[in-house]
Amino acid sequence: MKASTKIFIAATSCVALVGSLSSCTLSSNSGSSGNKTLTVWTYYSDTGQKNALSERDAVFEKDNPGWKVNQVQVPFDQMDQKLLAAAQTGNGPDVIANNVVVDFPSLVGAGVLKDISGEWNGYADKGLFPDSSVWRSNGKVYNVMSYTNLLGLYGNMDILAQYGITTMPTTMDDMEAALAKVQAGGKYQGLAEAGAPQVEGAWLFMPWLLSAGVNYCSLSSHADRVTATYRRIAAWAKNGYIPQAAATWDQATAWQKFMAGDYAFGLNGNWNLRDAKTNATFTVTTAQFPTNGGPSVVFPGGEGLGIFAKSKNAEMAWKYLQTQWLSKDAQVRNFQTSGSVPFRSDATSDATLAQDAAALPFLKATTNVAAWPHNPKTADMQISIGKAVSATISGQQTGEEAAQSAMAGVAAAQKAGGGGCE
Amino acid sequence: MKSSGHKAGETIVKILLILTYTTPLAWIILNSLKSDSDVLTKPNTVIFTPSFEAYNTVFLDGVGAIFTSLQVSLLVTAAVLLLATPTAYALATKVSHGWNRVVTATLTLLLILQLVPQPMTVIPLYSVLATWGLLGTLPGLILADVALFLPFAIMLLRPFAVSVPTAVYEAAEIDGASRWRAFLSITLPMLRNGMFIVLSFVFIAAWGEFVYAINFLPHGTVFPVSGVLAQQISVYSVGWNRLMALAVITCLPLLAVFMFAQKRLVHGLSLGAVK
Amino acid sequence: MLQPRRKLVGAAVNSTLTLGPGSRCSSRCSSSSSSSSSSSSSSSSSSSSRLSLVRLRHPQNRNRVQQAPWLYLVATGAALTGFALYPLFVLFRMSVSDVGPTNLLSGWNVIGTQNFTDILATADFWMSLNRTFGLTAALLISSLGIAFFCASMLLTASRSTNIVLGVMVFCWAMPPIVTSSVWKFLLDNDGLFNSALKAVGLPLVGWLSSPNLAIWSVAIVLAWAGLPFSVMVIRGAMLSISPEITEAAAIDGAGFWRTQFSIVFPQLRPTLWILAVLTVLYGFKSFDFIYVLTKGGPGTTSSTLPVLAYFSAFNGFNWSIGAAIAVLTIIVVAIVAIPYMRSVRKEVAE
Repeated sequence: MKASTKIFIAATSCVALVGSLSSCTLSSNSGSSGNKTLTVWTYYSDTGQKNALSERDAVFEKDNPGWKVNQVQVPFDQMDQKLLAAAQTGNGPDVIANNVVVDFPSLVGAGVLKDISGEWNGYADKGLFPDSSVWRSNGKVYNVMSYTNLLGLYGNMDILAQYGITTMPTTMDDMEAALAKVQAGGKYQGLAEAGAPQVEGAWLFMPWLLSAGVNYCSLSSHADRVTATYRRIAAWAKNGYIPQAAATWDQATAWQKFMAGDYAFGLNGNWNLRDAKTNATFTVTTAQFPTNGGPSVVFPGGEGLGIFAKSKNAEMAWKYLQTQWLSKDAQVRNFQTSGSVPFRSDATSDATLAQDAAALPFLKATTNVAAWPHNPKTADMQISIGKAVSATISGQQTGEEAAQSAMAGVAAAQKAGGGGCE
Repeated sequence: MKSSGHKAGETIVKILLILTYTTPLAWIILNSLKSDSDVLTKPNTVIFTPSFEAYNTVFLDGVGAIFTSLQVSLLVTAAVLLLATPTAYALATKVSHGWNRVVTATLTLLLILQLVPQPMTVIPLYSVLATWGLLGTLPGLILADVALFLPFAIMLLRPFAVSVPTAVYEAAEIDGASRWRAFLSITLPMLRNGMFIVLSFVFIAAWGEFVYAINFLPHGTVFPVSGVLAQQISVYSVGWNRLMALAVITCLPLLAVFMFAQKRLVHGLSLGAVK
Repeated sequence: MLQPRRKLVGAAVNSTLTLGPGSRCSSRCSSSSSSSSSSSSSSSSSSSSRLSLVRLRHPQNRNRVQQAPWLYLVATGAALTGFALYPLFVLFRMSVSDVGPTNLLSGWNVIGTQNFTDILATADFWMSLNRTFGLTAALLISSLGIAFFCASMLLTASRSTNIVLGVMVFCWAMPPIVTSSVWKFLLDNDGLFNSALKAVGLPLVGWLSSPNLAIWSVAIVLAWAGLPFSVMVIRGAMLSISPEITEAAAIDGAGFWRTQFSIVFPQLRPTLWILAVLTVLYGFKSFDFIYVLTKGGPGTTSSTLPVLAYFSAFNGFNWSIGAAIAVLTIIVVAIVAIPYMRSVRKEVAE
C-alpha cells in the first residue's frame, strides 16, 4: 500500500475512532458524575487570586457534600462575549465574576444576570456593605461586590530618598515637583503609568479628572478642567516624567515596570499589595491617589459577583457567593492572598487590615469614591478617554487636542446610549 | 557562476537570519528559567540564577493543555485532509466548460472565505452551533476549525492535483478503472507530498488556534495550549515567565512534529508550491 | 508556469523516482536526478510534457468519457456551507442590522445601510484603511522582495542552509501569542533592542510607543513572522526551475544576480503572484500580533481594519459596526484580488 493511501486511511480511521470516543476522552476539570457541579466563570490569572479561590472552594465542597465546584478561568477578552452568547443559548455557568464597571449595563440588558434582589434583601449581613457595592438596574439588584479594587500611588522610597523626598506627595503639584527632581537626577525614571488606548488607560487616568471635580457625566461642562488635566499629562510625557512607552502599557505592564525598580512612582491598584510585599527588592510606600485641585477621588473597581439568569443551581450559587466572597472570613482571606480591599465594614476593621500600613491609603480611598456612569455605552465612553490618554502620552495629540477628542467621544457615546448618565 | 564574494554574501545572510530567528527563541528559553522578580528586573540579561519556579507552576496545566490540543489538532487535521483531498482532486479535473465554471466559482469562493476575520465569525457560529445542538461539544469545535482551515488547505493542495498528468488517468481508464479507483490508486499516491504539507500546515494552525477553542469547547474542559497561553495575560497580572515556560512545554510536541515534517515541509514546497 | 509541471511529469512517469524530486535528496541534487531520468527513460521529461500540452489543446479528448466529479465536492460543500458560508451570510446580515449586547444571537432589526454610512463618516475608518494598506505594502516588500533575496541566498543545499531554514520554519510554526509576546519585550522601551542601542551609545527608540513608528514596528514583526513561509515557497519554486536554463545563462556569462533577475524571476511569476495574494490577505487579517504588541496604540496609530472591527465589536459591544467593518474589509480585499481571480479563471479555462 502506498504511503499516501495509508495517510488517507489513517486519517479516516482517526476521525472515526477519536470522534466516537470524543465525548469521554476530553479531559475535564469537573468531578465524577455522582457529584452535582457548580460552574464558576472568572478571569483571574494572578496566583494569589487563584489560590484564594481554590482554598474557599474546598471549604464550600466540605460544607455541601455532593457538590463539586468547576472553576473555569475564561481569558479576560473572551469573557463578556461568552456571557452574552450564553444568555441566549442557555449554556452558561452558575456563578459569574464579571468586569462590572464596564459590562454591567450590557449584561443586565442581555439577561445574563439573575435578579438577586430577593437573595440580597434576605441576606442578614447586607447592612455591613456600603451602597457602592450593590449594583442595581431599575431598582433591582444584579451584581454585588465583595471587595473593591481601587487606585493609589506607590512610591519607591529607595529612589525618592536619594532626592530628599521622604513623604509621599499628596497633590499633583507636589508630585510634579518630585518627578522633576528625579528626572533632573537622570538616574531613574519617573512615573509608571498605564496609558493603553482602551478602558485601562481611562481607568488609570480618570482619577486625575475626578479629583479635579470632573466625572464622565460632567465632562463636557468642564472643558477648562479637562483641558488643563490633559495638558498636565502631556507636559509630564514631554518632560519625560512618564515614558512614551506608557502609551501602550496596560496596568499589569505598568506595575511590572514599577516592580523592576527603575521608577520612582507607580499609579496602580491595591491588588498588587501582596506582590509588593513579597517580591519588591526596594522599600515600597503607598499613598492615596494625588489630588488635582479637589479631594482625592477614585472609582471603585473590581468584579461584580452574580448568578447566571438561566442557572439551574441558583440557590446553591447564592450559597457559594457567600462562602467564596461575601463572608467576613472570605473577605479577610482574599485581602491576605491578593490585596483586594474588603467591602464589609467588619472585615475592614479586622486587625489584619487595620495593622497593614500599606493597605491603609486604599482603605481610606473606599470612603470617597466616584459614581460610575449609568449608560449602556459606558464602554465606549471609557474607550474615548483611554484613546485620548494614549495619544497624549505618545505625542500623537497635544493636551488640547486630546481633551477635545475625549469630550467629543464621551458625548457621542452618551448620546448613542440614550443620553442617560447619572 | 558563484564567486567567492557570493559565498561570503550567503554566509552573511545566513548568519543574519539565524540571529534574527534564534534571538526570540533564546529569549523565550532564558526567561522561562527566570524567577518572578528576575524576569521583570533583568529581562535582557543572560546571567542569572536559573529557577524552575515557572515550570513548577505551569507544568500540570501545560500537560493537560497538550492533551486537549493533541486531540483537537489531530482530529481537525484528519478531517481537513479527508475533505480537502477529494475536493482538490475534483477541482483539478478538466471535464467540460461547465465544470470549469464550477471550478472558477469555487476557487473564488474559497478565497473570499479566507477574507473573513476570524474573531468576527464567532458570533455567527454561536447561532449555527446552537441550532445544531453542537455548542459546547468537541464535534462543534472540530467543525468550526475544519471550516476555518479547509479553504486554505484546498487551495494549497489543488496545484499538486493539477500537476498529475492526464495521461496517467487515461491509461487507468483504458485499463477499466473507475474514477474512484483511479483516485485511490493514482491521485492519492501522487498527492503524497501535498497532503503532507497540508497535514503539517493544518496541524500547526490548529495548535495555535484559541478563539474558537475558548468559545466552543465544553465548560470545564481543560483549555488547549493556546487557550492556556492566553489565560496568562489578564487584567491583574501577566506571568511572563509562566507564559514562556508554557511556551517551551507546549512547543515540545510541535517540535517533535516539526522534526518529523521539516524535511518534507521545506522541500515539499518545491514541487509546485502554492499555485 | 510550465516548468514545475514538466518536472513533475517526469517524476510521475518514471516510476524509479518514487519519492519525487526534492523529497529524498535535498535541493540541487533533484536537478541531477531529473536529468538522469530523462536520459534513462527515453527523455520522458520533455516528451510527456509535450504530451500533456497536446491534451491541453484538445479538451474534447476528455469530454467524451469523463463525468463531472460532483460527488467529490459533496462533503466539503456541506461542511463549508454550514460552517463557513452560512456564518458569512450571518455576518452580512449583522452588518445591516442593529446588533448590540441585548440581541447578540437573535432578534435583529434590519436597519439598512446605516452602519456603513456611520463608519464611512468616521476619520478612524479611513485612517485605519490607510494604515492597513501601508502595512500590506510593507509586507509585500518583505514577502516578495526580501524573501526572494533570502531564498536566492539559501539555494545551495548544505547543512547550514538546512539549519537556517529549520529555525525559521520553527519560529513560523509557533503560536502567534508566544512570538508576539516575545517581540513586545524585545521592542519595549527597555527591551533588548534599546539595551543594545544604549550599549553602543545611540539614542533610544520608541519602537512601539512612537506614534510615527509603532505601525512600522508592527510591520517588522509581522514580516518576521511571515518571512519563513515566503522563503520556503520561493525557494521551492526556484529549485524546480530546470537547471539547464540557469546554466545556459551562466555560460553566456551572466552573473548570479543577473540570472536571478532576468531568468529566474520571470519563471517565478505565478508563484509570486499567489504569494502576493496571500500576503494581502495576511495584511488585511492580521490581528493577534497588533493586539498583543500595541492594542492599536499609541492613540490609534497602529489600529488597522481588523483591530478596529475587533474593538468595536468586543470592547464597545457594537457588533453590527464590527461586522460592517469586516464586510468593508472583505470588499476591499476582494477588489484587490480581482486580478488574481481573473488569472485563476484563465488557468482553469486553459
